[in-house]
Amino acid sequence: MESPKIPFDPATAKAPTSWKGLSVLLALVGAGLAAGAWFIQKDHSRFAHAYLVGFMLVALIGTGALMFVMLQQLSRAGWSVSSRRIAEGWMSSLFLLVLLFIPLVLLAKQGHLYAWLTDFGAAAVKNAGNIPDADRLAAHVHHMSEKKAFWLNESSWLARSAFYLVAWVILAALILRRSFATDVADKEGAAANTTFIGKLSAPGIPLLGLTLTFASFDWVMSLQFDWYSTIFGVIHFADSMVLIASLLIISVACIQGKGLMKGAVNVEHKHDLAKWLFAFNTFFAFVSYAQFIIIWFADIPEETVWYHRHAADGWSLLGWISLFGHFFVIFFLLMSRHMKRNHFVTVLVSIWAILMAIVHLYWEIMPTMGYPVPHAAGPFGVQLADILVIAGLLTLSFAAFLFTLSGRNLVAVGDPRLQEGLKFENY
Amino acid sequence: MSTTEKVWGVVSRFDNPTDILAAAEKARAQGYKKIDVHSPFPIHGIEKAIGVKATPLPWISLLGGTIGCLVAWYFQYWTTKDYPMIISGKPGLLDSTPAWFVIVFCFTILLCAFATLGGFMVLNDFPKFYSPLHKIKGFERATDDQFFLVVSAADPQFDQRKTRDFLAQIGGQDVTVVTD
Repeated sequence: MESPKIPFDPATAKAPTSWKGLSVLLALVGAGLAAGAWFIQKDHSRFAHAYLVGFMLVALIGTGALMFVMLQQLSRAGWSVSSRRIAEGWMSSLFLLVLLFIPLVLLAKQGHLYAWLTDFGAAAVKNAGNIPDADRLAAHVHHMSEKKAFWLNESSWLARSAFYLVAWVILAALILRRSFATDVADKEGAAANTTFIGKLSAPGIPLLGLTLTFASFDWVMSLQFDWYSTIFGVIHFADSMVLIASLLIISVACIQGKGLMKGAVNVEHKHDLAKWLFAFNTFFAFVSYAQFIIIWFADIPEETVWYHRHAADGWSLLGWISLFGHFFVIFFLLMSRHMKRNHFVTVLVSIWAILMAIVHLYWEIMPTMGYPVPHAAGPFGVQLADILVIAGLLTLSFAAFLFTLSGRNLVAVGDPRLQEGLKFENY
Repeated sequence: MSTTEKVWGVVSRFDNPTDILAAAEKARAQGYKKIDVHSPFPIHGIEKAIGVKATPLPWISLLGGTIGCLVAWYFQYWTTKDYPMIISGKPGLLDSTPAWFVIVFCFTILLCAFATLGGFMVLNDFPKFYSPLHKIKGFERATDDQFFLVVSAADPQFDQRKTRDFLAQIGGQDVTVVTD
C-alpha cells in the first residue's frame, strides 16, 4: 500500500525534549544488557568476540550515516534533504564508538581477541596438544610474527585506531554543528553552512573510505592475522550503506507513526531509500562474491584459510544465510517498483536487512575464537550472552540517536534545497 | 485535402508547456482517450495528463534476464558434464558452479539489456521512418520550441469537426486535420 502524499507540516518537525530522558533510560538498558552478558558468559574470549560484533555494528551504523550525509551534501541532492537529519542523528553512533572502544582495548589487552597482541598465538598452539601438523603450524606462526609484527603490534594498532576514531568524530561533529546551525540561521547563513558541509565532504569521503577500510583490517581482518583481502573493507562499507538505508526507512516509519515529520518524507523519498537499500545490498553480494571467487579459483592454502576456518564445525551455515538471506531474499523482494513503494514491505525488508548485517558480522568474527588453534571456536552455536551484548550495543546506538535529536528539528527546515526535495517525484 | 485520403487525427500547436499540460488535462476530462503530445523536452506530469499506462517493459527485462541466467548456467553445465574440470581440487561437476556464476552474471545482464532495448523498440513501433505528422508544416519545431497535441482518429469519441473545434476552443493554434 502506498502511503498518501500530504503537504509538509513544519509544526511537526520538532522532536520532543522527552527523548532525552528516554535516551538515558535506553542507555542504562543497553549498558545493563552488555554487562549482564559479561556476567553470564564464563568464556571471556567468546564475550570479547561477541562484543566486537556489536562494536562493528555500531561502527558501521555511524560510518554509514556519515558517508550517506556526506554523499548527499557533496552531490547537492534534493531528494534526501527531508530525511537527512535522521541520518545525522545516527551519525552520533560515532561519538558512542569512542566510549565503546575502551572496553574493546581492555578485552584485547587481556588476550581475548587478537592473537598477535601477545605472541601470535604461539603459546596457544603449543598448549593445545594433539593438533595435526603442530610443528608446521608453530613454524608458520613464528614466520608470521616476524613478518607482520611491524604492523600488528599494540602501539601502532592503538595509534591507528585513535586516528580513525578522531577523524570520524571530527567529521561528524563539524557536520552536526553546521547542520543544526541551519535550523536557526537566516537564509544566507543556512546557505553558507550547507556549502561548508558540502566542501568538507569532498575530502571527507575519501578520508572515511580509507579509514573504514583500514579499520576493518585492524579490527576484524587481523583476528585471523595470516590472511588478507584488499576488498575486506569494501564489504563492510557496503553493509554500512545497507544498514543506514534500513535504519532510515525504519526510523522515518516510527517517527511518522508518532505524528512527527508530517508529509516531509513521502512515498517518493521512501522509494528512493528502498532503491538505495536494494543497490547496496546487491553491491554487498557483488564484492563478497568477488572476494570468494578469487580465493576459490586460485585455491592457494594461504588464502583459502579464511574460508576453511569460517566453514568448519558448522559455521558455514551463516555463510549460506548471508548468500541466500542477505542477497537473494532482499534482491527479489525489492526488485519491483511496487514493492519499493510499499510501506510495509520496505519496513519489513529493512528489519530483515539489519538482522542479515548482524549475521554477516557474526560469521566474520565468531569463528576466529582461539585463532590460530584449529577448531578452537567449537561447533557453530549462538549463545544468549552473544545476543545480549549485540542487542545492548545496538540499544546504546539508538540511545545516542535519541539523545542527539532530542528537542531538535527532525527535518532540516533551513536547508536551501528543502523545497526542491519536498517536491521531488520519481517519474 | 482529397476525400479519398483517410483521416488520421487532429493536431494543434501550443507555444508553452503550461498551456499544453492544461489542454491535455481538458482533453482527458472531455473523454478523449487516444491523445498524444509532442514536445522538445519531457514535461513533468504530462504522462498523467494524457493517461499513459504503466509500461510492461520491466516484465520483458525480467524475462530476458531470467532466460540469460538459465541459458548461461545450462550451457556451462552441458559443456562441462562430459569433460569435467578436474583441476585445482574441484573434481565434482557441481563443484565448478561458483566459476560459472561470472558467466551467468554477465549473460543475465546481456540478455536483460537486449530484451529491454528490443522491448522498447517494439512497444514504441521503432524504427519508424514515416508518420503522417511529418506532413504538417512547422511540425519540426516539436524538436525546438513548440508543443503539439494530437487526437487520434482511432479515438472512440473522435469526430473530425467537433474535435477540431474543441482543440481550437481549449487554446490550440493552427488546428489541422491530418490525413494518412
